[in-house]
Amino acid sequence: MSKVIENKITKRQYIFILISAVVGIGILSAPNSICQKAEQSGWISMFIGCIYPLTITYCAYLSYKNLGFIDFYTLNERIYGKFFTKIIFIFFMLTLTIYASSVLSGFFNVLSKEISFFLPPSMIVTVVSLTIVFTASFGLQSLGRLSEIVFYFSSMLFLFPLFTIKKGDTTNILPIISSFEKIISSIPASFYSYAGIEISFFILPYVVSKKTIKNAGFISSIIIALIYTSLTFLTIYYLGFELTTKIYYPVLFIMETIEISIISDFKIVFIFLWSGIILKILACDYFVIAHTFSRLTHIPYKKSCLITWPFVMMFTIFMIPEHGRNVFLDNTIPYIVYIVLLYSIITAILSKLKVMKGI
Amino acid sequence: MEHLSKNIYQNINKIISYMPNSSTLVKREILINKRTKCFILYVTNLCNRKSIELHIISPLLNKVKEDLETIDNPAEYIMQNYLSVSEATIIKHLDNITVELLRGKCLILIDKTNQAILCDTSDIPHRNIQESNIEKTLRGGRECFVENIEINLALIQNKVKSNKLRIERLILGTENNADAAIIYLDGVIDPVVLDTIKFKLNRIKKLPYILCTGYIEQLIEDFPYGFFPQLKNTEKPDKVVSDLFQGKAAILISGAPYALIAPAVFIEFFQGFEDYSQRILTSVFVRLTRTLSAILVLLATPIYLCVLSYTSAIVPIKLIKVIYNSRLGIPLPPFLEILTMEIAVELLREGGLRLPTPIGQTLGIVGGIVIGEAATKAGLVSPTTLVVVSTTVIASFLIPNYEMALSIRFLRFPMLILAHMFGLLGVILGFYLIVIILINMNSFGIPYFAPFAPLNYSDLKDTVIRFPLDKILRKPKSLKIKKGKI
Repeated sequence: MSKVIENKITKRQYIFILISAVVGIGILSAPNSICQKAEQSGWISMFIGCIYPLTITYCAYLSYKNLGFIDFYTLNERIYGKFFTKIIFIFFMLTLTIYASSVLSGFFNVLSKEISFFLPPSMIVTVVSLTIVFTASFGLQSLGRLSEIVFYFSSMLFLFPLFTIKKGDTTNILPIISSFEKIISSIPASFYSYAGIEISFFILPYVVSKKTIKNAGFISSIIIALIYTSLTFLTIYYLGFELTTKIYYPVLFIMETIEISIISDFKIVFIFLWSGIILKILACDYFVIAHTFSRLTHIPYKKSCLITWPFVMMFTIFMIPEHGRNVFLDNTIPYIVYIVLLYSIITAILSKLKVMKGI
Repeated sequence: MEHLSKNIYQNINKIISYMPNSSTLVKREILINKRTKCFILYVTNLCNRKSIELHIISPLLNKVKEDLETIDNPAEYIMQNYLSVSEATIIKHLDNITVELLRGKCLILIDKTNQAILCDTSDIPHRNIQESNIEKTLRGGRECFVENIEINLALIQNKVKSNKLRIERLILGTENNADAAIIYLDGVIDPVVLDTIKFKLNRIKKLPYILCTGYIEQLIEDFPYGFFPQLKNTEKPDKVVSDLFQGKAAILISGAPYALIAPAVFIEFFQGFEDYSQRILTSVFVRLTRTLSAILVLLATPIYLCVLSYTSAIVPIKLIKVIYNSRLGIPLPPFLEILTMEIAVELLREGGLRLPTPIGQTLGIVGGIVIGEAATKAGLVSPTTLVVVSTTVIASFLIPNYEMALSIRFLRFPMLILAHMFGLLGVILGFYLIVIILINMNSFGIPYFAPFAPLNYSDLKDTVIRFPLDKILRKPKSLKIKKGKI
């Protein structure tokens, strides 16, 4: 009795997992952070920032192509040796734990403010994180299917802000280029919005059709960039960059202004629908955490999902205070992003050298 | 293997020992050509007596003139020259003889030969083919399956006049030896899916008894504790034929007026057979209504509870005023009020299900209108709660498949409890978990949530919407297991 291939994903699912791993709670606050420096040209910086996901996904593709689509652990072992592989895995595990915890704590803050104000914080975090553990425990194939379906069903959410076209003001986005210096200095900030794309390294070897995988990273990076750029543009167009920089969740603020006759507060409906996306991104991050832990300790994947849960919970509780989280992330994410960028480029080069030397 | 002996009395005693105290076993003794002793054994009420008299006893008594003791194979000689029955076989052993006799066959034992003749004279009493009471269709064939597997097979064969049609017979249950059959179209069904079905059916062969398709369903499905039905049950031959052409297999068992269809995917349970006979736009509208109704059944009462208890800001002030005013003086908290109503509805539904139609209707009217009205007037339930709960009940009747409707109705309760415990977050998590469960389920190797997850664009043409028939009358790609399919 044969069954469908376990833990294999299609090219399309690979694209959607990448999108899922990036587009999350950060999108609600991305216009705020990017407009701090770039002002009304924040959307341009946001688009240029897609260099980061493009580089990461292309380097991942090159590295695997050179070494024959072996799994991530073996790839690192062949390039860096056993000791450094363990260090790299610990780094990625911690990185994804930080991402997951920041998303979960951000989600908690939105929930506790808007729809779950009557619940104790520990209960919200526990219930949501257990749901994530349950989701991730089904493995990569399940994540692929989930990312695919949630993307299609939630894509209409990206269309909601379009209503601002009618209400916005063109003077808010003029002059289109505030200054080249400001735009360029904001690009690193936009890199942080694209954090999460690192999952590409972990899932690429599991894609079934390797021949057509080359452009998959490009497609996903462009889709992510278009989502982020359009939302940033519409936010600036509707609110103006000054107001955008003063509201922590400007996209949520826009949703609040949508008027539908039978719904008094559309923001709650948006959170209700947006939650699917958040749970999906958390599941993607959690998959990497459990996967790296499983490879490091040789504990089966499902058990790793449970073992790593308290670890993520602890990080999340630490990150719940909004200010503390921002300080922590401001001091860590830039380093993480640059380290990952550096790692990707070096890995791609070293993999090529390995091939050339015939090792 | 129990071989037949040349002594006819030994053979008779053996057969009687297999069926002790069987008052229905008839042993008719005759002398062929006034010389050779012969016994005709059959189970009364399962055979056509006239046929036995006319085509077996009469020729044996009146026409045989030869001396059988001088003939090499007397049983074969008689079968070939004197018996005018349509189906007869020579047997040399008594294995399964009880089962054969209980199938309505007639055994002819001849003295001084170790062979016997088994003739098909079955005339098992059965219900006539009638119109379905459960799966009513506005357009399409009216006939439905009966308890006799042969008639059911004939109904299918009559509709599929194709040389690809295959019927594989098997016996299920070591004690009741129920006749069963797998029906499929060779070359249309995926071989891996077919192998999986056969493997699972073979696995349950050794169970003591299997009485109906419900038993088989639970024994061969992948997720026995799952919420959702993983095989389709139907009593309409039309539906079976339609599914066979889509690359599925049907399982029939004697005694059950239903066919099991495997594999089945989630969306199929929301599709009606007459959807394909209606105008395209009408059927699209009907399908959208069904989808909406399923969402309503699942989410309406939990969201209503959230509005009442936690997130009233979601509803405009004018509407929330109406809802709150209607609840003035209601002693029960919202959760208990809704739960009580839901349970009352389930009681009425379950109570009315097995009652004769006129009494069932009366129960529905008395329960639904009189008690509902009385409960509202007595101040036990608010009118808005009554409206919400009754809307979900009506919506649940739109789901064409009874098992699926029951599953979704059941899921209201955990959703309601989650909404009570965690508010809107509970509803979000509950719905999300349902999606997770759906995308991780398989039915005989086919993803249960196909063609949505994994997504198959071409198969989306026949899901919540329906494209013209010439675009969808083909085997769905989702029903094929191939290398690399996720």
